[in-house]
Amino acid sequence: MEHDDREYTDMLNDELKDVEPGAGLHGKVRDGIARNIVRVHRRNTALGAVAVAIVLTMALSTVTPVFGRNGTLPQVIAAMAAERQAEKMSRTLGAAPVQQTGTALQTSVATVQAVSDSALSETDGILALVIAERADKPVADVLKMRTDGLGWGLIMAQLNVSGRDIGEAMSQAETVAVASSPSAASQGQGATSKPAVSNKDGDKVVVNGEITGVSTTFITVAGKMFAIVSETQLKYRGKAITPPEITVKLSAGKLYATVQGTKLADTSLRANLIVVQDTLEEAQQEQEQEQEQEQEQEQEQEQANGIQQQIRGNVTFVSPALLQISGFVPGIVLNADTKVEQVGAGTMDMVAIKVGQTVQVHVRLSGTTYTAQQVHIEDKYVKPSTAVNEQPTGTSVTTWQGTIVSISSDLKFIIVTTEANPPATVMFRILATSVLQDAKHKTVTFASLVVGQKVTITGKVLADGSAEVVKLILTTGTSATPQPENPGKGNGKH
Amino acid sequence: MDDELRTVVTRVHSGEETAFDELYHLTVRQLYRTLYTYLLTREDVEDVVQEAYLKLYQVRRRLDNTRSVPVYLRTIAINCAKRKLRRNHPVRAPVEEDDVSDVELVKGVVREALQQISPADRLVMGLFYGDQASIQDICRMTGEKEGTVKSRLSRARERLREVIDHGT
Repeated sequence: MEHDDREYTDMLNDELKDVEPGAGLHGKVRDGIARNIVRVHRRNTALGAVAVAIVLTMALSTVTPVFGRNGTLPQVIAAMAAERQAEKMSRTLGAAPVQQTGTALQTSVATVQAVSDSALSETDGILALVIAERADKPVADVLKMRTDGLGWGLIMAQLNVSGRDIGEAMSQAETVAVASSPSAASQGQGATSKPAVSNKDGDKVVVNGEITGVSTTFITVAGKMFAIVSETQLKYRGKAITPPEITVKLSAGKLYATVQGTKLADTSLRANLIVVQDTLEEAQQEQEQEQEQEQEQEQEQEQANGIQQQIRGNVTFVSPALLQISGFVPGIVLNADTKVEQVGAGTMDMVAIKVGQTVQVHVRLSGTTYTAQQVHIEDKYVKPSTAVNEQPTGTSVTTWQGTIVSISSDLKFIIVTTEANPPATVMFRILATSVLQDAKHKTVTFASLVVGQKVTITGKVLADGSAEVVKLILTTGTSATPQPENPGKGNGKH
Repeated sequence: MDDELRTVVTRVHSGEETAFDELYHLTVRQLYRTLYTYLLTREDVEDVVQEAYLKLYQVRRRLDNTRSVPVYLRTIAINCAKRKLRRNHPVRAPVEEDDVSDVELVKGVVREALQQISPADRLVMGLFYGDQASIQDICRMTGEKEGTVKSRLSRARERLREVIDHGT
């Protein structure tokens, strides 16, 4: 091998011994180097000139709008940064970013609408809203400047808004918008933002959710279609809005609504009030407020209607309009709304209430009047084997003295606690033929009667225990026992 | 030679223009032969030599290891030659017997053998036998692994012997 290596080396060297670089090669190498030096020098000179030009341009552009309507270089840079941030915000917000930005900035609907109606892109729309908000100027001014061809940097400079201001405002708006967006709400709940029927109260229906369809005659919210009628109120941010306006907004992005409606007999839904919101969260808040208002109204209604309580005892007197229970002195008014139930029979008519039965009565006190809401007869119902005994209709005239404890102006009756021993409560029906007089026998009207007045009443006892007033005389401070004209008849207690 | 080269490189490094000419004269002959073994034409060799020295000139201020300069120069040159071969692909056809202009310095059977060896194998052979470069330096200059270099060397040697012994 050693021998071979030497042999190969000699062989190669022998063959290449005459291979020498030519005399002119050095000159060529030198020329190449010289040309390169010139080329490099020129390149460096050109680069230096460009660098100087850039520096001079930048220096000049800080004071001169070298970029025409885009303003100076710092303004152009600020505009680029603002546009970049607006673009990022637009991507983050997704659907209807201008509307969401407007909501986050708490700008008016008209302002957002103005931006939406303009020819600006969504990114520029966001920027216009933010600049107007920061400059405390109408967005129309910003839009006009933009329409006139001014760059955002120049607009910001003319409105004394810095790039930092815009950046901060946009960050805040983005944070608020993202936090109140439906997607954020659903993420927080760990569920989809599927809206649902949220409340039903009898025929009343309250629904909140996304608006998926709207026309002049109907609106679909959370998959439920409500008819829009002439009485339907449509509101957006406290102001009236029309279905076509909702359609326009809907074309720009998602919209939500809380609908208070009524379920009709044919099971269709009619909208009474439609409150349109930009976000589902707003809709939910609206619904919560609605529920709170309903609760407050119910509480107010309860307060207005009076105090409820339960009374249990034996029936000592009953008529279609009045019920009296042992141990409970005031008479209890029965009316068409009073529900009657009996053990073993369920719902019954008022005539099922009999003297002597044990009952539990839900009453409501309004003023001085106890009104029965429900009468529960604890005595088990026994099917009558014979025809119901008709109570004799009283045709005789009886006189009572007592004090008015309740007046029903609607049903034209009064309830009087008599001065008998023990006292009784009797309902007197005021007829068109009834004579009402004061102590001086001057005619008075039914409307002039007041609770607490002492009266002397002459009347006819009816089958239900009540009495028709033949004559009523207002007395003054007397409290005599009833003087029956017919000694054979009552003392006022039936 | 080594001391002289070291001194010249030091002067080149310091910015002396005439020292670069001296460096050229100290290194160009060996480089020329190496490239000729690889490319086999004077025209291509001269192009590559010019390009290699221009690159060396551009980095002359960074030449601080005198011992690596010849290796570094040949590495630059080999890379330039490889690019040139790629540009000239397919590889130049073997020289005809009557075409004496390019092959007048390569004679007899050795010339025939070199023409039948691939350029890459030929380069390794020229570096190893012509320049007396070590396997490690060849690896550094060609960018190939030691096994590859040895394999190329063995293949070139075998082919050369076949041609010399059997004339085929």
